[in-house]
Amino acid sequence: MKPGYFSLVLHAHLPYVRHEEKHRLEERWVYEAISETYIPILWQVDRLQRPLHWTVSISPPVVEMLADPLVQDRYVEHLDEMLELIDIELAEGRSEPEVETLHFYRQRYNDLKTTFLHWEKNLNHAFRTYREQGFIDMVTCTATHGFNPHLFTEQAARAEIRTGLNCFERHYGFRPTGIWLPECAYTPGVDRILYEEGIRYTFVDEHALLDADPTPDKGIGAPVYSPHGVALFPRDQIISGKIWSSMIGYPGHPDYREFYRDLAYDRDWAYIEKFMHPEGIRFDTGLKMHRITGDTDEKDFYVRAWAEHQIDNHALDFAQTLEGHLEAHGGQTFPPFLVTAPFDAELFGHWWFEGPEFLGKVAERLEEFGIETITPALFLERHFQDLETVHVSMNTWGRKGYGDVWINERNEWMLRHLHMMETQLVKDVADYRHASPLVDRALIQLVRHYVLAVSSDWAFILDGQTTAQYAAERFREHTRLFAELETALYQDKLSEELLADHYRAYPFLDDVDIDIDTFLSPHDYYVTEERGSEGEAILVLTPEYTGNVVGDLGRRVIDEVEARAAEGETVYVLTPFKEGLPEYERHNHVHVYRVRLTSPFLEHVMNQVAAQNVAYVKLVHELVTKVAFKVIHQFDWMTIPAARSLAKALQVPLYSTMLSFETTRNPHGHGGLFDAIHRIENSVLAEADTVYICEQLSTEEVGMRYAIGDNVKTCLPLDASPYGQKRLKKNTK
Amino acid sequence: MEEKIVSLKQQGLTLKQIAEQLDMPIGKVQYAWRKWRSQHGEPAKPVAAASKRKTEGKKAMTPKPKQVPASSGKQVASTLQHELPVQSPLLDKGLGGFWKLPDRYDQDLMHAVVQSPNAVYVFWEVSDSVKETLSMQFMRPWEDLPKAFRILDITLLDYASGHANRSYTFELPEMTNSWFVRPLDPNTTYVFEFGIRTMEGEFLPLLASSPIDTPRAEPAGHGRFAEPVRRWQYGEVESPELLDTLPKYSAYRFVR
Repeated sequence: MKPGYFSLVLHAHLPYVRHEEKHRLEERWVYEAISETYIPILWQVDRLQRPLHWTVSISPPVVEMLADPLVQDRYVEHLDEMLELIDIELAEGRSEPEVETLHFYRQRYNDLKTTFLHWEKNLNHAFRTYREQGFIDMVTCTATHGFNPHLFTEQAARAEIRTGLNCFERHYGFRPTGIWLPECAYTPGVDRILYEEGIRYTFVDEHALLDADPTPDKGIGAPVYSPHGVALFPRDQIISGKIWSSMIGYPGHPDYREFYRDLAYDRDWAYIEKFMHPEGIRFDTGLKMHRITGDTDEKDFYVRAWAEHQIDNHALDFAQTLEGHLEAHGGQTFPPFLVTAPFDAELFGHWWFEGPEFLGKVAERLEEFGIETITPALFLERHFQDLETVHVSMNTWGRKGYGDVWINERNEWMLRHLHMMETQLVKDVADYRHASPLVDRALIQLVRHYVLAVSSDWAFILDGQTTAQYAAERFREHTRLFAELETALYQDKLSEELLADHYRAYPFLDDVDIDIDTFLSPHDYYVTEERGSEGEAILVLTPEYTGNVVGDLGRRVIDEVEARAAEGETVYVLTPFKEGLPEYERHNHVHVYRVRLTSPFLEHVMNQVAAQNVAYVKLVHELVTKVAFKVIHQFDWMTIPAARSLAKALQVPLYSTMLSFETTRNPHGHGGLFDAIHRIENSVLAEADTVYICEQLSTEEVGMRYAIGDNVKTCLPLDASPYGQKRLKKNTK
Repeated sequence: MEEKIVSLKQQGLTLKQIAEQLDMPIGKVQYAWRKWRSQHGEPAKPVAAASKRKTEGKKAMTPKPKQVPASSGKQVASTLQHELPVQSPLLDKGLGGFWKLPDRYDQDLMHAVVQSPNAVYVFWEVSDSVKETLSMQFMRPWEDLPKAFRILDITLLDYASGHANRSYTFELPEMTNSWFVRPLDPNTTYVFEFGIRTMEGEFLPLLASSPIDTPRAEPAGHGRFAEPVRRWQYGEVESPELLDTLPKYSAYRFVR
């Protein structure tokens, strides 16, 4: 045996493109993947009949589509059509090289059908069987391949991960300890969720490790642990490049089959029409009769024997290259040098037609060369003690290595809606979970709509601008279904039929795969289940409060709040943050929020006041989702803008207490700030239900400088509620 | 199993602790507990007596009755007030009455995601109430207040302290609600703010993103993360001194 290891990882993924209606072009993606990649890979495993140490990742959408009777039956129909087309072609009297290739295809499509029927049309059974026989290892991916660095909440990321694992386990009978992160996209923190969900390893691109902090001693020659303990296996770009690059790699060889030239485009419409889309759309049949030939548009016919010869050459070359690479790093120990080569499975067969056979041949050559293959799971079992722990920043295996593909001018419009769905799910689960079995199923269906919308495929397709319309429509459709179902939940219009309709549109995932509690936060649980309810509350906005009393005003506010609390009222006091005092305090039914300005270093008074008012309004926005306010009571001019705006938005009466006015504090004042404060004070006089003024001020005096009405009154004794009871009654529910 | 849950609950364990002890999903534990409670007419109290929740001193420990979905046909109230929402915020109708993606959600939010070591995508929204508050404050319509955007480099600093290593502010066109912020530096912690430029020329922030790290784009050697990683790895700190993305979200995070 040579020193070092080689680990091959194949990731099979397609978006969930199952449609009830017939003739959707996108469904052909599944047929192509089955015919060109999934079954040919299975053929190699079956031919070799021994442990290959390949790790096959199969994403939940693929698992679900392979298990879907509708897809299965349509695939058989598709194979029959292909066989019919091949027979017609053979009857046409084509040239000798064409006839030879057609015979090759006839045999191949017959074999595909035989294999597919052997596994009772469900290829999950095939993968599962080979895994149980120990020939391959398997992992899965997150539920719908959502791009985790761009998710907003921990809950959404966890739901994608856990749901994916649940779905896989239901079909494959075990829970893998590894996962394929969609697009190999790592973001700090996702490793914590992975670890908590039982995941011990995943895959990243090589710059994840090359740019890790600290720089790992072994470079990409060994996996590392992320800070939360998930092993990250790096893609070796030198070795991978030999295989995936059409420029420097094997797939571009002139003798291999040409991907872009399909028989459908070389035939008259009248002839090929029967096999094309009923609406007159031409699409690839999968019968590709030419070879790459070279950098030319004049393509020669495919010669199967030549391609097979190249497969042998390239498998040998790969084994030699790998041998050299391993020998160059032969000195590495603890752990020995490891080359990890993760690929999209569809590269083999679909993009590189001869790819699966190449993989089979490589497996044989590696054995002959004495190069040890290993799965990541086995590698960890042997060498878990020898890995470094480093910080890895956000990165992917996409174009330029980060998020460029999944967030750009062509697809950014989706993100705010996705984030909205996430936060709505958190809220809905907190509010409604376990209200009834029907409601729980509706929540599950909402999660299903969300995960279908968050698939990274939509952003990817929009980036590439091929079939962009389909991706945009799918995103919109899932969002619309989410909106409609959520509305039905809110309006108590759920029914068995409605849920069945929603599920039928995209019957992806079983209800048992989706755990709505992944969206629950402990705090929301406390608020909705344990906090208890309180009466409708008084909202007090004041510049001064306990710990920050400058003069009469602060004392007046404290006295009033205490008097109301003593009467059994619930009071929320919002007041400016002060260093050294807690941001939140509670004394029985008095909640005190000391609110930070949106910026601590504003120079101008008016801007400080504005920042404070904005902060109040934002906080109240959050509070009203749970707290019912029956009245707003603001003190002093500094809280007037927020109080006015909130009274309007909440449709509750506004009360004001003004112990002084700018014109009384500053009788000879003038200038911009003076005028502005004067205007703000005037505005509350016009709008408040009642404005209480200090005993020392007379209404006449105030009336000389302000437009006052009969809503202006002198402050009441503390034991008298300042809020007109009649008026309040009307406003309470 | 049900008796076990009830017995543990009566011993004062929280549902979460029970779920952990029995290795069951909390939902199941909760379901069993509720079922038992409703069957025994138990007025849900007091379990919390022994729990460490900060609910001490509260008068009513009774959980709020489950919210019943609002009855149909209720008018859409324009108020923010504490009623259950009557329709999904994602439900919107365009021309012809067909569903369309909402243009906005009437919220105050600002989210940032990494595009590359040199670029971050930021989107935001300002609620009507905040807009109105500002017009009441400055006596000018929202549309007339000049909009601006600030980039703060807060690497190794606490944003709440108000300090930044450096900052850069630029004007934004009216009606903008997203921006690809570039060029930025790799391996830097940023906060982004959206706000207005006041009459005095001061930048008044209305919204801020959470801090976000741009990725490294070159080998780090022994960089700023090396020591925090080591301390966390060897258990020298209770929580990692690292800026993780994907924070747990609570719908009622400000309700205490």
